[in-house]
Amino acid sequence: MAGFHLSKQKWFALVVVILATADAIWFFYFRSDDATAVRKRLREAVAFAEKQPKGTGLNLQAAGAAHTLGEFFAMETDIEISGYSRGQTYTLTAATRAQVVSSYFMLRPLITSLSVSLAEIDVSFLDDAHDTASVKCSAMATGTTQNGDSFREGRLISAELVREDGEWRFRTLRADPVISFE
Amino acid sequence: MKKDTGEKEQEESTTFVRPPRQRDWRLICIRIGIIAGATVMVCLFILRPMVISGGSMMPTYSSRGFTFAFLPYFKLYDPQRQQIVVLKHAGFNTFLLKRVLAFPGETVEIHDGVLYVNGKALDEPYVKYPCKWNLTRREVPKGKIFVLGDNRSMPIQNHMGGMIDRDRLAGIPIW
Repeated sequence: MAGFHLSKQKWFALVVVILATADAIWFFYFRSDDATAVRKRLREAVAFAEKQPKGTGLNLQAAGAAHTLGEFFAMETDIEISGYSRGQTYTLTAATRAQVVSSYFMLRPLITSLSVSLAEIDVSFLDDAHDTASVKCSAMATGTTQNGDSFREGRLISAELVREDGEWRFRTLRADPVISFE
Repeated sequence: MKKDTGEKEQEESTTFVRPPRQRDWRLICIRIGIIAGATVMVCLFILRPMVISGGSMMPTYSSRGFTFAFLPYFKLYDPQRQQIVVLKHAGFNTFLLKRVLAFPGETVEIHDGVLYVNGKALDEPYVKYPCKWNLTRREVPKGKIFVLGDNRSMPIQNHMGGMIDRDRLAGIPIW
């Protein structure tokens, strides 16, 4: 192993590089500031919305799921998810937390599997206290419907989250197609 | 005789004998690391390899084809009409391959498969398959561009095309 012999200076340089890399990783992935908390909340919401085929992964029981889903939204919400897919126009709107939960449980059985990936996440704050956050990102949803059709849809997400009792909750949520004739 | 001896001395002086080389694994690892790092950087930021999935650009690009997207292009140039472009769709790894057809402030409409930009029919020799699309007149909003694929044989509802944010232009295919 004579080929890997390093002088003291080189060992020092190597340790500095490793520490700097670890620091950078910590800064970007594990720092606990408000923007990171909002990103984390967004990912938790996506993980909740995802659905694995039966027998694999996490499939929540309805009773607990309703409560958990409700916790992601403020009592008064403004949700609008619209799109055009395979010849059908659809729009999901909800003005209260209860409507979000009921719409979710109405639509969920129509999909047998769903996975969502987020990208280009941009978080900014609308007030100095950092209690209201504006989020913009793109989302790619892939999965299969109850009929066995597979789908792959891209959406531009814009959302407003508010901090209530230490938890970030969606107050507004819009999901628009990335590309459309309208 | 003197000349021959001189030539022999010169030949001997240019003959090298190399000692047996030991493999320097550290150097090999560093070289492999640099090459791998450079390749990843080039593929992420300059030439992104792309596998084409779907037939919306047929026959210009066939499904399951392969190309590279030159990503810095739109940092240097503006998009041109009828240019094929790569657009960011959503998520990390999905891009769209489309043709730019209209710019902000221009109107687009389609009658019996013929595309009109600002009321004038656009000559589109690359559209090879029969198209019966109809789309009422609409203006391309500020900050958007109007794109379509070359394959318009499917119903318009099933085609992923239309208005898209200009800032989603990612690059151009290199072939």
